[in-house]
Formats: sequence, C-alpha cells, structure tokens
Amino acid sequence: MRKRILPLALMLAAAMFSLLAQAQKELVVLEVADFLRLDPAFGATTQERSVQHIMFNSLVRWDENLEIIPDLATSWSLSDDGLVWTFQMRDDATFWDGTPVRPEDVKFSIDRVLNPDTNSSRRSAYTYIESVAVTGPNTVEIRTQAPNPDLLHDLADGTVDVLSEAFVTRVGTDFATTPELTMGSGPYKIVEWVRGERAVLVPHEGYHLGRPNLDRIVYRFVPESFARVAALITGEAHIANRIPPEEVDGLRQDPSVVLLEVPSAQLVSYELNTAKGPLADVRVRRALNMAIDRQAIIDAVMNGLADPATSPTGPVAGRVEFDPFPYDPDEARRLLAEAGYPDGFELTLHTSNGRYLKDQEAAEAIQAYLEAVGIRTTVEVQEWAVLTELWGKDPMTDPKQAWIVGRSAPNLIFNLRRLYHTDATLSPTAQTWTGYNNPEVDRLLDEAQQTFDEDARLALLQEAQRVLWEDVPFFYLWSVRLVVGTRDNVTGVIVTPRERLILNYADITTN
Amino acid sequence: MLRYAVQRLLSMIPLLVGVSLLVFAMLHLTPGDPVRLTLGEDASQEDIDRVRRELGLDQPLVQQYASFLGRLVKLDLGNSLRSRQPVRTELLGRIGPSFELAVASMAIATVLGLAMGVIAALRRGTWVDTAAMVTAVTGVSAPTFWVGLIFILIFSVRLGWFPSSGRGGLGHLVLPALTLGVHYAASIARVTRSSMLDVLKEDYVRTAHAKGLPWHRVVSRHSLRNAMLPTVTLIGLQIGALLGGTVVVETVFAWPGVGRLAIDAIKHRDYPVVQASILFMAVAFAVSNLVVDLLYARLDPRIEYT
Repeated sequence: MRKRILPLALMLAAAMFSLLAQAQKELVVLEVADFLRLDPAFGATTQERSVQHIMFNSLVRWDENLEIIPDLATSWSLSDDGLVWTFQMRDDATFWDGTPVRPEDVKFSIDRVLNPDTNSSRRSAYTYIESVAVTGPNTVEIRTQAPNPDLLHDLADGTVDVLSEAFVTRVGTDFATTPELTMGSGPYKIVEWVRGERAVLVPHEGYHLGRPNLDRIVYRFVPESFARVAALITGEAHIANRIPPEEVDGLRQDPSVVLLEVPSAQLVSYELNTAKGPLADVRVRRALNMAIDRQAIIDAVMNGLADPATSPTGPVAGRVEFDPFPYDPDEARRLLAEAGYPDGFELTLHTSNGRYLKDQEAAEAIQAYLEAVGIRTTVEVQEWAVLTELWGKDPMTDPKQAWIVGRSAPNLIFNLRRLYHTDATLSPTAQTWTGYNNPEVDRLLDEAQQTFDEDARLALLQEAQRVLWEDVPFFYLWSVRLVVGTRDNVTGVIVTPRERLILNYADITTN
Repeated sequence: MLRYAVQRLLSMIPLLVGVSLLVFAMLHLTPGDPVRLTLGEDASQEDIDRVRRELGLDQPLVQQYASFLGRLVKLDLGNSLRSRQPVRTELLGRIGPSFELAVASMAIATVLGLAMGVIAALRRGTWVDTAAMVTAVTGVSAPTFWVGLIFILIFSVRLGWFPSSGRGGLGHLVLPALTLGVHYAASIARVTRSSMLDVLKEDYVRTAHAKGLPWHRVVSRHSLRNAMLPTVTLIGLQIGALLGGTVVVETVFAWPGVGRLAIDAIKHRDYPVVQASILFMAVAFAVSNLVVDLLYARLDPRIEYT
C-alpha cells in the first residue's frame, strides 16, 4: 500500500507545482542597454525612465499621447498671476515600506534636485522653480519665478519623481545604487539588479491603485538586435524593444508576435552651420531640403519605418504640420544658381553609425542626391562621442558643416527655444551653437514665454513655426517609428512617443 | 622555480604602469567629452561644468594621472563616471562571467582541436586529414559574430535546444562557448597536427612501435605528450585573450563579461572603467603567459627555471 501512495503523492505534488508555476505571471522584457542609475534625479536614458515609471510616482504623468494625467495629485489649480501652482494629493499612497507618501516628500524631492550639492544632471531644467511649500495635510504649492505653463510637463518627465524623504536622508548619495538602497511608491519594487545582465521587479502589494497584474517583471539587457528578435520568436521573452526594420516583415508573419509601432517624438535632422558661407543663405538651405527624396530613402533603407519631416519640431502637442518638402532637384539647382552657387559648393555631412535608425545608410543615400544637384558632399562617419564635440564648435570657423542630431521635444516652447532662439544658437556654451539668427523667431518665442493665455501663446508658437519652416534653419530628415515586439498574450503595454516602455498596466493573458 | 615566478610577477609592475600610461594618454587624446556624453543632448553648460568639476576632469592631466596612480597603489580604481559606482564592484561583477565563458570555450576548443589535430596527423594525406583541415580553416576564418548568429538561428530558433542569449543556467553557456570553442579549436588543430607530424617521425616513436607497445600508448604517451609544447603555448595565449573578454561574442549573446564592460566604457569615455578593464586584461594575459612558462617545465624536464 505504502509503495503505491508515494508515487501518487509525488505526482500530485508535481502537478500542483506545475499549476503554481503556471499561475506565476512573469514578464520578460529585453532592453538594449543596462540601467546606469535608477535615481530619477540622474538616470535619464529611455530604459531608465521606463523602469522608473513603475518604481516611482510623480504628481502628474504623461499618457500615451503625452497629455498630462493625474498621478499622486488628484487636482491642481493655478493662481491668477500664473506663478503659484497648488496641488491636492491623494492620501492613500504608500512607499514600499508602508510609510505614507506625504506632501513633504514632494517638497523634499524637488528641493533635492534644485540643491546644487545633489549634482543632479537635470538641475538646470528646473531652476525656474522658486520654492515648494507644504500648505496643508495633502496640499503642496509650487511657486515659479515667472509664469511657466510647462511646469506640468517638467513634473511628468521623471526627474522630480517623489522619493521618500526619510529613506533618502538615511541612505544619502548611495540611494538607488542597489535594490536594497531603493525605495519608491510605484506598483513594482526592484528586488534584484545584476549589472549588465538583468533586473527583477515584484509587485508592491500595498499599491494605492491595487496590486498590479504581474508577479514578476524581468528586464534583460540584450544589445544585439537579432538576439532580441530570436528570444521573442522562441518565447524566451515577452517584449523586445527596438526591433530593427529588416526584421519587421519576418515578425509580421509570426502569428504569436504583435508589433507596436509608435512615431517617435525625436526629429532627426542635420543641424547646419548658418553663421556664414553658403548655408547662411536661405535659398541654399531650401535647395538642400528639396534635393532629396525622403520617402524614397525611408522606403529603401528603413523599410518605411519613418515619416518625412513636416515641421521644425518633432511630434509634440501644438506643433503645426506643413507639407513635406517636395523632391525637386531642378528647383534646387535653380535656387543654388540664384544664390550664387551655380557650380554648387562643398558640404560635409557628419553622421553617426547606429545612434539613429540607419543613420549611415541614409547619409550615403543623401550624398548621392546632393551630388546630383551639384553639392559636392563628403560623408564623415563618426563615433557619437566625437560628434558631440561638434555641438560646441564655433560656427564661424568652418561653416560648411552639417551634423546629425535627433532632438526630442518634451514640450513645444522648450524645444523651439533651445533649437532656434539666439540664446542658444549664438551661445558657445549651448548644445545648439549653429549661429542661426532670426530676430522675428526670437521675438515670437520671447513673447510666447511671457504669455499665459493658452490660446494666445499657442498662436505665437504656431506663427514661429511658420516663420521657421520658411527659413529652414536645418536640413530636416524624418521622425522614425519605434517598433516594439510583444508576444500575443501580452496586453496593456504602452509605448510613448518619448520612447518609454510603460508597464504599469501590462498583463499576461492565459489562453 | 618559486623565485622565478616571483621575479616574473614583480616584472609585471613596470608593464602595468606602462599600459596604464598608454591607455591614459590614448583616452585623453581621443576626442569626446565624457560629461557631455553622460548628460546628453539636453544638458545645459551649467550642468556640464558642475559635473566636470565634481568628477575632477577640470584638473590638469598630469595631476589626474598622478591621482589615478596614487589610488591604484591602494587598489582603489575610482568610480565610474557614468554609474558613479566603484569601478572595482563593476569589474568584479564581470570577471566571473568572463572566466566561466573562457574556461568553457577553452575546454571545448582543446578537446575538439586536439582530437582533430591528432586524427589529421595520424591519417595524413587521407580524406580525414583534408576534412579536418578544411573544417579548421573554416572555423578560424568565419567571423564569430556570424557563427554566433547562425548558432542562435539553428539551436534556439529552429531546434529550441538552448536559450538564445543572456546568462543563467548551464544551458545559457552552451552557445557562446561553442561559438568561441569552434573558433579557437581551429588553430589548436592546425598546430597540433603539424607538431604531431614532426614527432611521429622521431626515432623514439619508431622504437616504441618496435618494442611492441600498443598503438594508443605510442600516440598518447610518446607522441602527443611531446607534441604538446607548442599547443600549450597557444592555449595559454588564447586563455589570456579570452579572459580579457570577447567583445563580439559577449555582445551577440548578451553575456555580461569584461569585454562588453570595456567597449561600453570606451564608447562613453568612462575613463576609470576603461583604465581598470584594460589593466585587468593585461594582468590576465601576463599571468596566463607565466602559467604557460611554468607548465613547460613540467612537460619538458630539460627546461629548468632558476
């Protein structure tokens, strides 16, 4: 009798174990690179922002269209002078250790970023905040030096995510360097982080919106794109970020894979030295922009996974979309002749190799188009580290240069100002030292900065975009579409135009 | 012998100082600003300057190098510019995986290479010899990233036998180790074959046969052992190189080794991490060379170290 019971019990145990194992909902996500820092005041790569999104909360967040939605704040109001924002906060949110999230933590987190001793890499984006005050049990007030409607976007961006004052004060500068030294209030808490290899998160059982769907989220860092695709096909992974264009057609045939395609908020352009020389002439810049067939290049080298530029800024609320530049080599030649360059001129395109989707391949195609209208083009393929040095080079010294940059726009005015306002373009210390100078653009952007009426402000910004599209300061290319692959049983995954992978609502369905 | 080993170890110190100076000079001569790279497209100059001061990158180069050496003496490798973590922690975390992969690949390479080399030598001029050498040439010429991708395609995607990437159980080790193993086996096979051919011609081998010793003893005790010297040298050098990481294979298989750490650091001009990982590679190479030299004495009693 005993002889029969033992195998039976073993089988039963095995069956129960496999049932339990099945009930465990583990989501495996493949990212391109490891996280460097999980502290929101520092970590700002797309994959860091993605994991911070499920570990921390903020007063407000972005939805999938980059519209502002409440997070810890339930409502907010603005004083008549446009300087003081008052946020009402929910009172049921807790950190992973069970302590409540208080308005004091909000104040602490913003003050921490503003404190120069913290050395937050994003500090200067927040220095317009004058002070933060706790004015009630669930109320916090933020005062700005001048009216700034973009405060909400800056709060949503992640840098000032709400941290536990007690915890951070205790662990100091080591905060978020290991899972044990990390404390958030988000739906998932980190329990393991092996650098270069993986990070593991489990649910925050006391999350104020209820326990999240998954039992485990495992991030793995896989730099090689084909290896990510392979793991997605075999089912080793549920989500693979950044699927390269050449793999997209194959994956579309696979019934167990679903591809999410999201237009990125990043506008890829060649920034131009417009201080002097041929590129200082608007006719030359227009000729440049008319000399290439963007859609043909997109179809040929990117498998169609990009959209030709239609605006001087990337996809963001409030931008005006114009007609894309026509491909008209005859007109380009005519404009060059009219500007005094009937025999063209010499231009150097500095491109990265792999920083942006198919950047080098595209540069070679562009070179052929430009040669066809007489612009003698040299393509210099450079390491990204070397390219960033060009941002700080005096545009007066060597004007016939163009360098590739993808700038993303968290909000309209911020982006327009840092790209086209002379505060940036004539400043050796800015990241866009192009020498571009258009007083009309300056005037419109300055006025918009001071205008608090949403409609009037938008009108000014749209007028600025119209002027810019006529004046074409850059050699505009395209915005790529980010492709994320998921298994067909994964639901609730959100990819934002800022290229963040939001897993707060992700789930695995069992079929 | 011990004295010899200690002497050799001591002679590594000037070597390492030289390597560190070379790396330091090359890093600072290469364009690219680590601070700008870390802070990204949106950083302001104010932030850039502040972080540069904080990291000590505004100091004169000589002073930067001196303080690096000063810390190195105390075995302090500094902090990563990007993650701000101690470089020691970052490097130590990568040595284990690199070691695992190096040992597994060399085991595969040695078994495969020796077998192919010995068989080819014994069956010299037959189709077996030709087949073994064609395989060897193919193995050494095929780029490892390509072989790796083909292995993923066959063994993970088609057959589903092994995980395609990442580190975990023993299964994760198979494909990257096989990719490297096949590659390194090729040169081991060629060297073993030619030295076996030399040894097989020796008088003592003929004597051994004449004595009526069984065939396998003649091959294993009398021929292979004597033919091993060049092979051991080669294996030692390969282990040294493998310990320093194999960037390509580590990248294809998402293996968290020293090579990937170094490459990422170079891309982002993370000076302390580059310094430390290259120093580690130099040490690994020098030590494995030393081990090979010491092994010589065991394999060939005529060699003596004083």
